[in-house]
Amino acid sequence: MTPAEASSLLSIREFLQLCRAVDARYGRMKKVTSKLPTQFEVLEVRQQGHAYKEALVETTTPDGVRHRNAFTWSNLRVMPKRLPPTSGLGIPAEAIIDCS
Amino acid sequence: MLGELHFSTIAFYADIGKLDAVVIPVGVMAEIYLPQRLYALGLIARTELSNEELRFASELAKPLITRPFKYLAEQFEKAWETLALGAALKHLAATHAHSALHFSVPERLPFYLTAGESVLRAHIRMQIGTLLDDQMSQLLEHGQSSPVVEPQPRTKPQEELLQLTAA
Repeated sequence: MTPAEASSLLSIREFLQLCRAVDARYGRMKKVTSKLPTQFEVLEVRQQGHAYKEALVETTTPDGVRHRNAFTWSNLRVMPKRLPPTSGLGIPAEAIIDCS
Repeated sequence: MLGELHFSTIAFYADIGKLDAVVIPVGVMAEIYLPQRLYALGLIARTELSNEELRFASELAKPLITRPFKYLAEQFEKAWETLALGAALKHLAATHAHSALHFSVPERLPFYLTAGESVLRAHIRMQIGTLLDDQMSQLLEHGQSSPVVEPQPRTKPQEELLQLTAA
C-alpha cells in the first residue's frame, strides 16, 4: 500500500482528526525546535471489522527525528454500545452511546 | 423533525475555590431527546490522566480522576437507568456542581432531523458520536501539547451553577 493509497482510505474528517492527533502528540517539539512544520505520512490504513479503523503514521519532526505510531478511530455509526479505546484524539479515551 | 440536543464538557478543577487553578479536560457528555420517539445519551472520556496531571490532584480527588472514564461510565449507566428521559445532563451538572470533576452547564445546540424511521437510531448514533468527537477534540485543543489547560474565564463552576439554577 502506497501512502497515497493509504490516505485515500481516510475520509476528510478522519484526516483532519489525524492532523489534530499528530499535532497534539508532537506539537511541543514543533514549538521548541523551529517554525518548520511537523510532517507526517500515512503508511497504512487498516480496518478491523466495522467499528475500528487504524492508521499507521510516520511523523518527521523539524529536528529530523522520525516516529512511527498507530492512531485508531472508532466508527461511531456502526459501533456497539461501548467502543474500544482510541488514541485517535492523541490521548487514550473511550466512549459509550445508548439509544432507546 | 425538531428535537433537543445538549452537551456538557467535563473537566477536573484542581481547586474549585480558585479562579486561577489548573483545569484539566476530561470528557464530553451529550444527549438527544425526541419526545415520545427517541432518547440517546453519549459519553466520551479519557481513560487515564498522566502523572504530570495527577500531581495537581489532592489525595481526596485522586480516586475520582485517576481513571476518569471508569467513574463517568458508572455515572452514565446510573443516569441511563434511573433518570427521566432528557434529564441526565442537568442532573449530573447539578450533582457535580461542587465536585472537583465539573460538568459545564448543558449547552443547547440546534437540532434538526430528517432521517426516516428505519434509519433513525443509526442516524442519531452518528450525530451524537460526531458531536462527542468534535467537542472532545476542541476541548483537548485548548491544551495543545499538554492536556493541562490555562484557566478559562467562562468556566467558573459557581457561575455555571447559578446559570443552571436560573434555567
